[in-house]
Amino acid sequence: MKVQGLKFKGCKIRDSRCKIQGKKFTERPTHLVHCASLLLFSICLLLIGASVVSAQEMVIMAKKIIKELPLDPNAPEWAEADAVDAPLASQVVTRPRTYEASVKEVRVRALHNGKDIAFLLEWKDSTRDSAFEVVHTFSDAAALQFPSETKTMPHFGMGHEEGIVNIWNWKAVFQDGADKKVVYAMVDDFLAGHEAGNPVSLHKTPIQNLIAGGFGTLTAMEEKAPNVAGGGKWDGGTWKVVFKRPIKGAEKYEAQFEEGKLTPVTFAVWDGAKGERGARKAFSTWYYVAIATETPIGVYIYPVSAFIITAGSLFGLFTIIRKRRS
Amino acid sequence: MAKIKVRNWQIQREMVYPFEEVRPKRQFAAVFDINKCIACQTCTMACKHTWTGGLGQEYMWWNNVETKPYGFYPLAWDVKVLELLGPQNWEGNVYKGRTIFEAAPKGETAAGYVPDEMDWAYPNIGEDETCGSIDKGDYITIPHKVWHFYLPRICNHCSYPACLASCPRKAIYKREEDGIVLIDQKRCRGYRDCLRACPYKKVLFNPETKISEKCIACYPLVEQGVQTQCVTTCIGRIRLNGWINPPEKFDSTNPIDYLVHIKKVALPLYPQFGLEPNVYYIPPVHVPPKFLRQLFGPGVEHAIKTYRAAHTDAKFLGVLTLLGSTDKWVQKYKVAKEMAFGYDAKGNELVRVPIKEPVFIRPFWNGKVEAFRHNIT
Repeated sequence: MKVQGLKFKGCKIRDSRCKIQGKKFTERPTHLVHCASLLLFSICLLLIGASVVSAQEMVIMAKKIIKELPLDPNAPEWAEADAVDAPLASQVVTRPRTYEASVKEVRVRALHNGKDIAFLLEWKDSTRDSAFEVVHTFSDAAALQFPSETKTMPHFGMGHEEGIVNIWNWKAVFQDGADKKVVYAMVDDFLAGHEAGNPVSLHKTPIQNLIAGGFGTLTAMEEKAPNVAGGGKWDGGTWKVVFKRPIKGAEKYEAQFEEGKLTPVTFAVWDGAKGERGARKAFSTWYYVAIATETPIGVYIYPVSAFIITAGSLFGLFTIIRKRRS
Repeated sequence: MAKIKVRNWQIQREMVYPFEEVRPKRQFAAVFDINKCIACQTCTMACKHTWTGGLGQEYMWWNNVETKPYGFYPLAWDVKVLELLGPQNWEGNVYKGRTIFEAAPKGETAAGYVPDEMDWAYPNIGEDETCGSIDKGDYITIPHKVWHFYLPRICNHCSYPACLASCPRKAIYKREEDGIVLIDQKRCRGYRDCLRACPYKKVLFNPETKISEKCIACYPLVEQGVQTQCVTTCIGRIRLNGWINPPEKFDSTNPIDYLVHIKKVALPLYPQFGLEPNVYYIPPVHVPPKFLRQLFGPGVEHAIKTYRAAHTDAKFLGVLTLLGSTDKWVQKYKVAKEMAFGYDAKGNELVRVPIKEPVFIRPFWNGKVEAFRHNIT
């Protein structure tokens, strides 16, 4: 059934300043809001008893390996990566707030091979919730957030108007929905979400590539940009999720990584069983991922050459001295 | 929550709402005379066939008719919300309790809950169940000692929608031209905060598209001056669509304003929720007002008294006669010479109906076929 003139007037998908009855409802983050939310966030971290992290622990070293990066969270390559534990706080900056987010910490690892970069997120969750076909429960999920541009440091909670962020959002429901087939009794090919081009309705892979410029502005970008590859595995109360993308972002607003440089990153985790979705989540402050450079060949050649030259010179010297003495 | 105060005429006071009061140019409304509802579910099926026959909509009824006091769709929706509000006292026409916005828990926009999957699975639960049993030798009184009634429900296209207020993405909007509340099907991400907040539970989640859907007030019809599917298909002729004005701007020639603001016979459903809903019910006269007051507010006794005296008021009878008499959007009415007339905005006549149908008495003996008529009605 197709309905002529089924147009949904109102907010454009990318317009953060949507008008309702001619009134603007934009919440434009000011510096004051930034400071206040950072303060709130710090208090939350203190309340959950997060240990004070040193500068070194704020950096996730993405080691360079000379092979294809694994999509499997249990691949042996991940043993080569250093792990950083990032404490998470409940989201209390914007409504709806959550005061007791269930996931308190996420373990992060990163690897790259010069072509791709991959992250492994690992956290405790006693239930596997994918919410496929269910009305009242919610999906487990996780996200990585990076600044889209390097000139401004965005607000850590989904960026702000002048500080756009790129978000890679994995959801168990996306992952399960991608390969699950259901037979229904009724058949009517009209699906409003599909007809309207809703990026959630049409999404087919485990991870969605999005941008945001503040709370409530999350916008899918995968129509243009390639999907972030990856997926998760739940085993014995632990989720392990891999995110993998080419190191060079193809589109505007995609996160950029460069060898030898730091890229800011934040983490967010949702526990579907606790009703966490959207703003009801646990999230981190800014961390940095260091993209390790390849070790120059000279590092190996120079010491060996120096040793050979020194040893050769000494041998020559000793030979001359011995000859003179005899 | 930002402490913005708005005026809610249904509870006769100001109340807290996240956004300022901005009224649309016109407000979609409907009057349902539930004295005449027989729960045939023709409205329900008309809506289903028009809008919700797709995948993921199997349990989804934008229009439903439930039996009160024991019918609910979803299960126990109203009693659960009433419990969240606490005591709901009225002083005269002023509501002294808390609205769902005023009873919001810390960090939330409104008090609410997400119904369980199985709560949606029994849309006809409690059907035709009465409030008690009939004793031996009992007889009928008004109000009835043992009673039930049918409550047809659609989205109320509220003046202060809780779904709109609670959407963190602002994916829900109220149309400026007709006050119809819609979910932007492209912008929704399926967080279900609207479903949680709507006390009438008229936002529903589609697991196939992973986003929320709701009654759209048949806006493609409304835009063409036609009443909604649930209104025009009602075989009991209990429904009428129209525009409603705020009470201080009422138009005495508008049938909805006449029934709601002048006769005060059509009342909002659970006005204490604080949403200023725009479907108005003529309460059933056979039900004890004590029960009805909780559903429709303090105007129940007046509404019942007025409705029972309808036979003495030709104008009132005339307006009631317009219910179900045309599929067009009646904007003005006139009652003259025992006829009720309905007009469009330009004053063109849409319908004329006799207030009393002419009576034809057919003789018991039908000479044509040489047989007695056993059914002579």
